[in-house]
Amino acid sequence: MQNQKMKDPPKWALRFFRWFCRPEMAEDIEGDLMERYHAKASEYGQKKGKRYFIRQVLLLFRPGIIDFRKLFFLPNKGPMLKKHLQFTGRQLLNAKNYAFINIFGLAVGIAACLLILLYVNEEWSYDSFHEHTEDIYRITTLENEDGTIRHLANAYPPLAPLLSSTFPEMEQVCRYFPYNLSVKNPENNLLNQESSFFFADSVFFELFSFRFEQGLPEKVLDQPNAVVLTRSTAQRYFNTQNPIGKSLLLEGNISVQVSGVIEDLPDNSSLQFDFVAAMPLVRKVLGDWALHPQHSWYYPPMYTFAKIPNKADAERVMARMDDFPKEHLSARLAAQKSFEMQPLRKVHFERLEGDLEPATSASVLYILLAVAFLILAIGCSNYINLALSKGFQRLREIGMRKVLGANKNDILVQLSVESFVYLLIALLLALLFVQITLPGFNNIMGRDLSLWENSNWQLAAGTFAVLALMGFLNAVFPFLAVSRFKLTNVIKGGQSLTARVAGGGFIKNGFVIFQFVIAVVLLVATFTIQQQLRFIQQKNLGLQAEQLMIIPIRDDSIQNNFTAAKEQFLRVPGVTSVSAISNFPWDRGYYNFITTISGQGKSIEADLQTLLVEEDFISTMQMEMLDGRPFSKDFGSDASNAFILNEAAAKKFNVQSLDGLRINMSGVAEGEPKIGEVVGIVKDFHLKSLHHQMEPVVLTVAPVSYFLDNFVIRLQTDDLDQYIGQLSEVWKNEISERPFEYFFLDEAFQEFYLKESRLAKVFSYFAILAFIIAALGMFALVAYLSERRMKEMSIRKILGASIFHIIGLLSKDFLRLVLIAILIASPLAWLGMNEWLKDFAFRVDLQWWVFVGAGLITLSIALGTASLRGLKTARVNPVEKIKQE
Amino acid sequence: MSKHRLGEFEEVVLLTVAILYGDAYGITILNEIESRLKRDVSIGSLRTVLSRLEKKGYLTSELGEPTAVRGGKRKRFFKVTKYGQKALQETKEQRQQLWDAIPRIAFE
Repeated sequence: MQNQKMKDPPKWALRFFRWFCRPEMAEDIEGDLMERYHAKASEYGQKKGKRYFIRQVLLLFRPGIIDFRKLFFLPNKGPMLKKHLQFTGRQLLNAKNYAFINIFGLAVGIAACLLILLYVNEEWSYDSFHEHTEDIYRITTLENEDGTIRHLANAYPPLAPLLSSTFPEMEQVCRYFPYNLSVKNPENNLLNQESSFFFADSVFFELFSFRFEQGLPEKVLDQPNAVVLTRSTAQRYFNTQNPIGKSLLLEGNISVQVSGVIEDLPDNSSLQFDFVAAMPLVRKVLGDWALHPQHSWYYPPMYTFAKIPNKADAERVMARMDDFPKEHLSARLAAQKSFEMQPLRKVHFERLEGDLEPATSASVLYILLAVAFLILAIGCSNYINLALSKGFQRLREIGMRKVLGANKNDILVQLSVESFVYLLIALLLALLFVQITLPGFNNIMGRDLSLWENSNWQLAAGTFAVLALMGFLNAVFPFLAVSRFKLTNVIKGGQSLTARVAGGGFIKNGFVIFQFVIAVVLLVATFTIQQQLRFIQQKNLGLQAEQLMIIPIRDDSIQNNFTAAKEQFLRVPGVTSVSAISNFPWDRGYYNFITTISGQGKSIEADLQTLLVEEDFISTMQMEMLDGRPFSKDFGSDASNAFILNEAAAKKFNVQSLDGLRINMSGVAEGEPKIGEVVGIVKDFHLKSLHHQMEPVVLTVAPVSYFLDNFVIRLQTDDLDQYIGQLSEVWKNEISERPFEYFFLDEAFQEFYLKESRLAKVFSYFAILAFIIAALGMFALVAYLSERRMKEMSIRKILGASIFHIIGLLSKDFLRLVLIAILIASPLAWLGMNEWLKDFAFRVDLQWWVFVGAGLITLSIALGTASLRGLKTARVNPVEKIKQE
Repeated sequence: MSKHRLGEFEEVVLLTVAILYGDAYGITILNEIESRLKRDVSIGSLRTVLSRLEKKGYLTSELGEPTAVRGGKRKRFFKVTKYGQKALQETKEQRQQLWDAIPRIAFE
């Protein structure tokens, strides 16, 4: 006990205890702690004593002993806090403009940031709701076609069984096949064409965790005729009846039974479907070959997923995937196909051919995030800038506080309280802005975001953390700036002080430049994106996409009676011509056949992209022939022996004239290859988006009607709606019992550029915001400056300076900053937009005038803002200002 | 229904304070509970109970003299009030009543 070397307990623990403990208990508890510590230490030794002490302190950290006021850093001087709030209120009212600019700028910044964060948060949460998300991989296919490699999102039916027998690491392997078919409720004869119908293996609902309302996830797909519906689909077909056990008819004759109902799918799922039916049904819909281990390597596409619970296993499987085709597929297939594993979480961010839902590129998200934070930064720099300027103005106030006994901490607290109150108001305002603008934003982004969702708690926590940090920084900056000055100097004021105040310009100038750099970059980006979009709109596509109606044909009975159906359509007034095409290449690509071009002393074998059409296709699409003639029924034999090349194909094969040019195409018809001559060259036409290069394409008349999958109907009318009604009548009465579906080609084309037009809109709004905030900040700075130089300006005026001269004096410095900003921003914007334009195979060049235009707009906004305030100063009666003092 | 309701730990602490009559402060109470009941009690949990009992009026306290081993801090001595005594009495009687009500056969 009396040991002199007895050490004290850990200081930090004691200090921590003293800090949180209620003052009325502190003394006796600390005594107890010390006494106990000494007893323990002498009995068991220093180490144990210390450990005991620390544990006891931690156990003391409990309600009943903690002083909560200290815990939340509340000044224990309650009345002082009240005073601080009072002062804040006065400051706010005293300089309303200043407060408005501060708060409004911040609020706009926070609101923009929140909107973007909401969006990005949702995007990043894609597919995260599955229990096994991290363990699920999609098996994608690399198809090697004559040297060009296509990366397909899907695989084919025989792959899954092969995989699960080869890789025991794969706990579950599941395929699904999305199809478009007609569904009918035999009880009320409700009939619809359903485009989101999945056929899936029975483990589907074990692998993916969708929420069930009725049915057991492990059991629902066990029966070979089972089908699971989403809540709203069940409602569509059965209204309020219990759908379980009820029958539905697929394609008019395949009966299936509802075995389960799941909740409607979350928006952030990359799997979107209305129905999931048991896999064996595919055989009934497509034929027995559909799941055949040899005959189904090209169709139907099966999206294939595997669950590998262990990361190390997954990596091993990934490494072995390269050799998999060689070891397990026939040599011919192995040369064509190889496979890759894509983690489920990446599915939404990598667009592969055949993906059903649009992907979001991660880079767009990063760009949006960057823009959002930059806008926030503009708002913040306004705040700090103004606070700095104001801080100097308030030097005297702060000096007086010090004289009256305030210490450094008190002043920091005062500034913090002020900053937090401003921030709080800004935050509330921002929430209001978000609430108001969210519907519009959702509209632009094609989302259904909402501010008040449980899943947003991270976002809320993050926002508060950022705001707390901002509040603190916003207080610390001015505090540091102000506390540099000596008390006596501050009170005295005088020449030396003003000189030193003026020296703080570096940060201020930096902020102004920063703000305008961002504004200019955004402006250039907006201009360029819009220019590219306009270019796309005006681009000659080599065909007339307007008033061109496409009706998908989903039934061979329609295909077999194609000519009759065509006659029926042609009878509708306003329909000028009708034809058909095999498929539109934008989602699944073209058909590919082994093709040989020969004649003119050469013979080239090539894997040519092929469009199978009907004779009137070229005239219906209003494509332009460069050479030769279009297909025509007049020649009688066009169906069996005519080909047309597009310009790109002609260029590829260096075709000078059509003389004796022959094509041999195998695989397109049963048995014999199709042989014939090239009868014409058609001008390049775009059926894919302008992101893609022009590909060499050969057109030929479909040898069997089986290939004709879409009606192409040219309308010539001002009243589309009326004719759509008539066409629908014709469809119903004469052609098919299937539901009437159609779309217009130009609208389909618009969807290619959805991403870009969204970006254009978002950028243009953000550019406007950036300008508003930057201009507000500049306005306030000019205002502050002119107030300080009021006397100087008044004297100048008396000595004969003109109004323009004075405005010039006041705004000269700022305009220089804006010019610097434009110079910095232009190369940045140029680099960025050049990168963006690379996405397009067909694009505008960056124009010099875009930069000049953006610069001029920026300058005039800056000048306008500056002179608005400068004018006020310049028009003041000088006598008023000079006689003061 | 009695208006006094003592928790188990509250009762233990109150009794211990009574045992230590005149010398009941944090450490002696802790030691007493540890040695008699073989029970580990932290300073924190003891102190919260003590102040709760004081707030209810079962205990009073006053500060003693500072000693060197306590880093110059004073002890806070606790004493059971009349009210506290009554509470203990009542608790004991309630227990006794319950004991008396057990039929002999139950524990055979």
